[in-house]
Amino acid sequence: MITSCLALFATRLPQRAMVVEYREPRATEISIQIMARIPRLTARQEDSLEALRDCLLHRPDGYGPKDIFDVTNGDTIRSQIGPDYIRLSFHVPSNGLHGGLSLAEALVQQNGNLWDTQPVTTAINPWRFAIRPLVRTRVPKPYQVQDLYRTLFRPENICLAIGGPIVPGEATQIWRSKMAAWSPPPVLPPSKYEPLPIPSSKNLGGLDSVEIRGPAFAADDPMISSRILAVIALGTGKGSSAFRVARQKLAFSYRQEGFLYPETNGWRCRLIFIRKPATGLQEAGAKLQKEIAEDVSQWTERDRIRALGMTDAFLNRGVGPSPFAFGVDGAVDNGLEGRTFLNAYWKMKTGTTWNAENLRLSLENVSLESLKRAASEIVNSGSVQILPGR
Amino acid sequence: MVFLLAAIEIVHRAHFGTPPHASLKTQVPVEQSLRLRTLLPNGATILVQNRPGAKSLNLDLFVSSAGTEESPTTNGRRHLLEHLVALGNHENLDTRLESAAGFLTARTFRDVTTFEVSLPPSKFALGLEVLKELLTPRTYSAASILRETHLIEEEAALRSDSALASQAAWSVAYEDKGLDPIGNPDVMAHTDATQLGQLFDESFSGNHLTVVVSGDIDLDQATASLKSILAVRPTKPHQVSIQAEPSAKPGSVSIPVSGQYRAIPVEGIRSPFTAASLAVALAVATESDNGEVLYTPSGKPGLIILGGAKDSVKSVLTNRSATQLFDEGRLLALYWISKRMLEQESETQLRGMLLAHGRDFRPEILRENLEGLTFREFARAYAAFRSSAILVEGDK
Repeated sequence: MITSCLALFATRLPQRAMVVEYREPRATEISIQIMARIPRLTARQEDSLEALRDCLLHRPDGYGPKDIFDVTNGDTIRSQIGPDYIRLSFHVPSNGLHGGLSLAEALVQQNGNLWDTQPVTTAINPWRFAIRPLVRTRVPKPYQVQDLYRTLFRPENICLAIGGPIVPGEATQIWRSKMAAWSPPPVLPPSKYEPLPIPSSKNLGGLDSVEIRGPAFAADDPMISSRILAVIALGTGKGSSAFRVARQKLAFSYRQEGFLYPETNGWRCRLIFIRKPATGLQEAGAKLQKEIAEDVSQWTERDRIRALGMTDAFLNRGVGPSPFAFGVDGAVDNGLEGRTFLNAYWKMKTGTTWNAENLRLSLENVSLESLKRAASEIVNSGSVQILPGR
Repeated sequence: MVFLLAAIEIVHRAHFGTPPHASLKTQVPVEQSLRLRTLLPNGATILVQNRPGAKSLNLDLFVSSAGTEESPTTNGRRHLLEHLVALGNHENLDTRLESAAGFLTARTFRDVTTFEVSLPPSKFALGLEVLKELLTPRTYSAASILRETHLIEEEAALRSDSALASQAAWSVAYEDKGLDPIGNPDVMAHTDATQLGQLFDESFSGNHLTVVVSGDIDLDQATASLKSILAVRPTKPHQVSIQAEPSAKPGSVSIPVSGQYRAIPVEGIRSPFTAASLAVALAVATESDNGEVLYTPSGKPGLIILGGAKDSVKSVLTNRSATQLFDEGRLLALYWISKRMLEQESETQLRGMLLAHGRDFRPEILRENLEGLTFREFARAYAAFRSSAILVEGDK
């Protein structure tokens, strides 16, 4: 069972634009998504990332608002940043594939007319900041945002995802012909002397956050199934250890979650807790770690069954929180858009097809002892990261 | 004036499939209608929807706040009760549900408290057990009340700028009638088990309850099972004020959030002006930087709130006329409501929240008003957003 899981985690970067088709014949719409991989960014690029997300929503060349709604039948274009991708998504009616792909093409090949205005700054979400705690050093200039756009949105760096009642192969053929005609000039990589983003010592969203940051593990880790189930038992759902200890026992926080965060060659287990600014955060972090370790030592078969139940809920029905922090705020929605995204993200990240059933089966075979051992390692060898909100 | 519920049971079936038919020679399966609404003698409402092949079974309980509306001295008790009820017996309902691949979400709005249970398709029996548990009165310890009060303070700290702006607009518009449903920590901290018990008796009485079930399920069997649980809840007739709903007041307020917001008062979903306002808000938000619209479909008067980056909404309202926005707004609003009616989970929530306000409230009313939207009504809503809206200025 471990072997099937290993294949899921092998990283592969394709040389040309990738298309992932996800067929759902009963769906009434087609979900069209474009994902651009985010490589390791410089500080300057990191500063521009959120502005880019907002600028992408400006109308692409040649499209007025009515033109877009004619294509999408009233849906709006959404733009989101995940842990290692930036995504544009919208729906079109089931007979609107051609128009939708033309709009997608326009979105990835904007010529820059709409980038003259100063990017809008938005409020910092404390939960998102806790997940990605990097200092913003300056307000980006429009040309910097555009530079980042040109770096990320290139045929070899984007993945087109199509989901819904589609004819197999049709979208791939259309998209490939569009991409074949697109040869953007090369982009010079940032100078090696460009500063990298600086980890923040505060949560700039204004709330305190505590993190138990477990060790990273590689794609070929022999304990991978145990580690995934351990994260679910520790921090996914309201019966998890994090919820029971931090919320119900200590009344420390309202929101606390555990998830697997993507790293270059694998994943890292992270447990995050967020609360109003208060004193004694360092001590509170140490106490959380100690109490959760104690809770893990008392796990029984019931904890393993609950973790498997949560696995069923999010893998089979897209319900409840997921331990895979692929989506914005760590969540992947359970509609057509979420399912299409999941298939494409997995393919983009690993080069393999998403197979929920294989994953579920591999987790079912994890014993209680193995589960406890993996969870203890995450908690006991994890470092406690404190980000005060003030 | 006391509002007495007639002790009758009304059943409304909505047929969307082929009408039942029969043959003299062979018995053919009878195709069920897709939706069955049942009103119980105690005032409770049941709506069961059949969605063949659905991957989930949604069983949602809606508790109307009619008769238990909060005042400054009780503000927060409904939210506190929601937290405590959702924990279930022995405070382990979530663990039991999650072990069976289910999940519970509970939320408190101004007009309704919701308990939304998502289950695997074959777990209807578990859903019934959960419903029974939610409807069973319990005594809450002082420690539990104190802990949940503290957690609600933590919950409040996590609210987004738009949620804070929304509350600011409600406060301006409706003052003490627009209290924050998240609640006042001081009130909650001084609430005891007896007061919560009384609130439970009043708000979880039959005439305040609506249950909506959606999934691949037999309408008659599911309805019969739900009736046996809901029918035992007593009816608590409540005093209904003969005065009209509070009218919204204009005004403006500055709060420490990013962006700017405009809110206009609307009547319930029956009003064509509500549909028009939603269409205007969606059109303007789409054209604005960081544009967003906040609206909870309701049978009661409320606010439609339009937000965006500083000066962005104002700029769109100045530079784009109602004529230019009309088609776009109507299309966006129709998409918005159609999308919610298409997806099982959101449709279940929407139907339940509207039914909790009145037995005849349905999302189709809003959709019909949008389909028949006139430019005149749209222009009236546009003018309201432009010149008479409640303004919430972010000073961050």
